Amino acid sequence: MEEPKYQTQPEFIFREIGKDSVLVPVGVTGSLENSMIYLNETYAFLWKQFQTPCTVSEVIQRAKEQYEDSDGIMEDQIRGAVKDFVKFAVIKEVI
Amino acid sequence: MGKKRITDFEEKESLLLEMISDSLTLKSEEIGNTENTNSSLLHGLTEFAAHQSVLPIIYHRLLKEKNLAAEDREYLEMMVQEKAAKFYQILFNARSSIELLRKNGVSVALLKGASVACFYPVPESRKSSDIDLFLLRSEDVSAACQIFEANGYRQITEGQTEHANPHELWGTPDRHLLELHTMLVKPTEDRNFNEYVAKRFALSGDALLEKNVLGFSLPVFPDDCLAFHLLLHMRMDFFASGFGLKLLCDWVVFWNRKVEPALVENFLRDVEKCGMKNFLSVITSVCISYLGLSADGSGTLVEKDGDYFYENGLFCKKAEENLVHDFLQDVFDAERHGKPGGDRMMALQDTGILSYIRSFHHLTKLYFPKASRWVVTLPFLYIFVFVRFLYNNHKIRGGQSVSAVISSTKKRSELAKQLFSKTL
Repeated sequence: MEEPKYQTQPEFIFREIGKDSVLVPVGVTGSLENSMIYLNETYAFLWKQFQTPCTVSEVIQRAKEQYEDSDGIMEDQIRGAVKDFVKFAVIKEVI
Repeated sequence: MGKKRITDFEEKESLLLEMISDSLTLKSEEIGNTENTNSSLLHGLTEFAAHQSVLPIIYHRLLKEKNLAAEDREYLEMMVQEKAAKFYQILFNARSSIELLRKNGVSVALLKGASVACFYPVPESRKSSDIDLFLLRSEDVSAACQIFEANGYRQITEGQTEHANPHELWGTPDRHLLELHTMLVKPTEDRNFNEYVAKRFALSGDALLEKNVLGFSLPVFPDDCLAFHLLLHMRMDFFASGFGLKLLCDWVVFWNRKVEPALVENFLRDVEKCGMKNFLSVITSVCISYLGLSADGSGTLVEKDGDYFYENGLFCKKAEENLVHDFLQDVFDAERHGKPGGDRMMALQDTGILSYIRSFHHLTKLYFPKASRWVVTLPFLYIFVFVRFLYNNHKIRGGQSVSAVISSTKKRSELAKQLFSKTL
């Protein structure tokens, strides 16, 4: 079965403010309305990768090319972060 | 870029001008690291820029200074995060306030703030401390007040400065300041001017643009009205106790874009009708000479034969250098943004005794719009206004002598005389 592709949603804008990476929900209601979401390095990296539709495996591959993973936790971290993004509709599956 | 050599200002003032120019025109990655400036000067500059409300604007540029002290660097990081958070809170509140009013049939436009911030390379760097909304129909003010009251907004009357309209100041449910305007600028002594401005901005909702400001869709003026409003606002603040560099930065980023020639024409007609050609010339010349406003055709303006043009003709004459210098020095000296200048007072449009009397009478009419119609009350109202002036002089200006204040008024009024002419 083909792995699904995900992409970032236009309801969020990404801003780099000082040393911080921030998501600003501009078109959402509910718990994220009128908030600012500060992203750590992992989440900021993911956001940038999902600007164009891609699979989680592709993102993991790119991360391994760019960062060291001496503890071997990178893949779990990325999969966990993707789940969070999907849960809050920051990224959605592209059909 | 053909920037003017800045030799007639203090070192930190000159450096600040250079940094603002770099920040408004270069991308962050184009700005190279530098170690020419000592840390003590940089520290003074950081404070000065904060007073001028432009520290967030020069953030990236300042960080390139290798000699910037660690504590200043830390302060900058904290300040930028705080300002950005505030910026978005203001934007969220503006959006929800506008939606609330519109849902209830009240037409409103967003002034200043985000409507101008979107032109900046880093919109969050344009400091905003409150939300400014303009009611397109002044008769909607009662309805707007009722809507706000019914939705958890709190009217603020305490601690308002002179000339404030009690309808104007509100606190949003999450405690941000909102100003509800029925006039774009405070009435002046010139009736023709006031009438022209009121008529010009008697717009229908259709005339507004739904602008995408960082993903938020907000109703703003079209470019000709926006430019006119920016200039009017600077004029109003100039005649009060002056304005800081932030408003000049707005001018730079506005005209560094390509503005439609037809809209520029409308704007220039407004400028002429309101006797602001010289003012436009000085503001624009300052911005081109010192702050990175381009005159090479990459934006709206191009320099030709010693003056400044847009696509359809003359935009403004190049102002005389001494006048440009004096004006910029006045901007630096502005009390609320720059050096502490306790003796600063408003400027008058003329320097004769009649001008002082006219301004005093005008102030009285502003404080007491109804009572001042009765001539018999005027002597008592004048006494009240004079006592209030003395009280404000003591409280706001730290008890500076009246003669120092009047001397400052005279100096500023001489500058005003060169900047403004009578309306047609």
